[in-house]
Amino acid sequence: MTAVVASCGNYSNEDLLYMSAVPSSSQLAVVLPAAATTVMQAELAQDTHNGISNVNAMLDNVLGLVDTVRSYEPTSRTSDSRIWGPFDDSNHPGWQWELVVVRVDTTSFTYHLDVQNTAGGSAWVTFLTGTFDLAGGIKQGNGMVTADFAALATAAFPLDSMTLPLKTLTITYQNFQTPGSPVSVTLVIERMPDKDGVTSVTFTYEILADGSGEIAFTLVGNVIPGPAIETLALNAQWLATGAGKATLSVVSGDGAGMAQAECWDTSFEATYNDKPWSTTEDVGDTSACPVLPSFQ
Amino acid sequence: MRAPTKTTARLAAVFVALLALLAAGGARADVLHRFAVIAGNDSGGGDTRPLLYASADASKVYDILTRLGGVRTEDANLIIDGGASDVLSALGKVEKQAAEAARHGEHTALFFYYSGHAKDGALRLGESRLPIDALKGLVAAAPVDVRIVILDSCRSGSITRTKGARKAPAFAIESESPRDAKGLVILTSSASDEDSQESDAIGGSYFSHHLASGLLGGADKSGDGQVTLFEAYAYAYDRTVADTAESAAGAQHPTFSYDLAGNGDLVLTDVAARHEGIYFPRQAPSGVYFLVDRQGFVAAEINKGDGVDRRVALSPGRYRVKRRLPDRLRVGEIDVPRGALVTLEEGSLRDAPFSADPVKGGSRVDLSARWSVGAGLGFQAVFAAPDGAGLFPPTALVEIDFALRDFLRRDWVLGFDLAGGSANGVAPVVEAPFHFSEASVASSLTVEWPHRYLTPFVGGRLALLLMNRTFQEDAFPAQFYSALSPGLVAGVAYHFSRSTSVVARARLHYLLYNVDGNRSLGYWELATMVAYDF
Repeated sequence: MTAVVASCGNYSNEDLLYMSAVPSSSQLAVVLPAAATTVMQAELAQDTHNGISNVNAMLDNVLGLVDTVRSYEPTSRTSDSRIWGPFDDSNHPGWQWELVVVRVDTTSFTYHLDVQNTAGGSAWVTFLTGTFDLAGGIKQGNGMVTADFAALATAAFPLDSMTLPLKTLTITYQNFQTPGSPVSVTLVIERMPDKDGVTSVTFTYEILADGSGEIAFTLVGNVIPGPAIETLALNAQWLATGAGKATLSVVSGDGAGMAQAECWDTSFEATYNDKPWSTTEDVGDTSACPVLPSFQ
Repeated sequence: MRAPTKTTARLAAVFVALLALLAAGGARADVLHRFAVIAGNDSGGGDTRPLLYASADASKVYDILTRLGGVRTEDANLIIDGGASDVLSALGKVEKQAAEAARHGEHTALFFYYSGHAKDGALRLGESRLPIDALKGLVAAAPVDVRIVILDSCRSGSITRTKGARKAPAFAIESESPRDAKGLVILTSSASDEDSQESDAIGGSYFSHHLASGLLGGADKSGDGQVTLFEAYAYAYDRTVADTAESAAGAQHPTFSYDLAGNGDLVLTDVAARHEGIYFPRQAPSGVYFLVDRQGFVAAEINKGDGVDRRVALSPGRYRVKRRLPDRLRVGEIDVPRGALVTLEEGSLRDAPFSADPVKGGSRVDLSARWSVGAGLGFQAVFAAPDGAGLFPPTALVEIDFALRDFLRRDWVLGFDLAGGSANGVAPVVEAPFHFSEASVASSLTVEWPHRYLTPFVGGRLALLLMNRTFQEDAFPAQFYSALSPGLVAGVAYHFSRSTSVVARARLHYLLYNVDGNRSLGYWELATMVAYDF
């Protein structure tokens, strides 16, 4: 009968379920308010945008790889797993990737993305590991992804200059699939010290259904002249219109306790700025700040 | 002395009946209040072979009598594929109508026509039987002045396409039957020991075909524009015998029983009053003219004599004309507008080789393959169990059908169809809204059983399905699935004109879903469409 009714297709519904266990870069990306066009962009607004751009670039760098692998139909299927690959890496000849997604039970999945040097029969090296739990349905899931850049470097995978200093990238997230629903993501980067001695960066952001959002950057490094290692925190919140406010504070280290507060309007121009270490830049008062929703 | 007495009594009876008949038949066709019961049934029950044209013959006779024979449609009863009870019911209805007419002083006539199986002394209408003697008794007792019975049926035979399939005692209405009813005329299509034959070429039985051609005007030997009973019978007899003389079943000789034989006549159709059809002028060459309608059926076969004219009261339409010469054909086309009598000019015909004969088989029409096209709307649904609904949502379809009839075999239909549609749904596993679209191309082979109005059909179909799902969320890529899907198809076509029909159709298909393991699904489709036969 099979011969008579020749059939073919790419994905089954079950495939989609396995695919949905692994987040795509676009699902976790921070949606920026409209890009600023003013030349007088508020300082912390600009820092916020730069930080968000870096986050999105990082997500795209890591999860874009998964997106590419996943764009193919599964290579093999079992009752509790799907395997994509191995696929040759066209950008890195001599390397191949394989994605394995396993259903642990009815509500949880694990997965790993591995890479192998095809020359000489090297062992597979795990780059990404992740988990996903269906906490109340496929669209109410919680997940965690860890990218092990150090392992890639050890295996001599040709990392680019942006990712070469990185050790690990850990992402935890929840409620990422329902359009318009809140997204909560925490992204932690451990890295080799850069020129400023930065060894770790943490991004935590939350996007509400109405388009407003909040992001918190925490950076550890010797970024302020002086002997101590500083911990800097930038907390920014914005409305869907683009108007927002941010606070930059020195949590510890040299200059501990100093803080800058700034607000901006829909054109990202500063309406309020309180910068104690440079009072000539102060602008307006707090009444010029937008009213923002409560974030978790 | 007994003999002269009997002779005198018989002559007196003949004289009285003759007066009645002359009052009816000698006048124009519309003097008599005419009633008709016309029955045709292709089926004669389980022990007979289905006929092909009995119903069509009955329909043709009905058309002629109501159009040309002075029978009002409210007085005409057409029974297609009905049973004996339907015939008896119609006769009972006519009796009441005739009795009422008689009370108003009208002269009345009953025309009974039957085309179908007959066996063991009974008409076989499907699984039911109507004994010939009972029928005769009913007709004879009918409260009318003139009764005309025409039976186009025969005893069974073993020859292909003869009416009846097995040997059995002959049924016969003797041409010299006792004169037990005044004004009773009986025509049969064949003698008591003969089969009545159908012909694929003419699309009907020989006898009914020639009787119809005669009633349309071919039998108007007198040239007065009226076809009488004797003229029609003589024409049908001559042409039927001529056509069947060389047939495998042997010559077929129609019979004629008339209790006033030789003493009167009755006008059956008035082809002059209609003033519509084709006129063969006196100077037109003699010979047999075939008038073929758009469906390829011989609407009339006219044997025109030398130096006489003929009116053929055909329905409005376009006809192909053919006359056969020893070395070539003369062919042409002619349009008959509504309400117009069009003269066939010999100059409008052209020479053509025999290979271009619209009427093939020596002297017969070949019902060659023909195309039809249909378009309509359908609805498709995959059976929910086990996972069908989540994969393929119920979908409305736009469909186009192409059908090639009588190509492989008579009443076999080779079909090709295209369909497309779309729907929205939600993938149940991932709760993701999607847009589903489907296109299909398929081939089918069906067998149909054409009747006058309804043509049921059943067959098999093989479809190539091309299905696609795109998700509103870009988290999921587009899905596609294609499959060859075998299935069954059944339906019925209702013909509301000769070339146009409405089709209701159902399909049941098997669908293998094997992306991540073999799963046997199925789906059903319902559709309705309008079809046009070329």
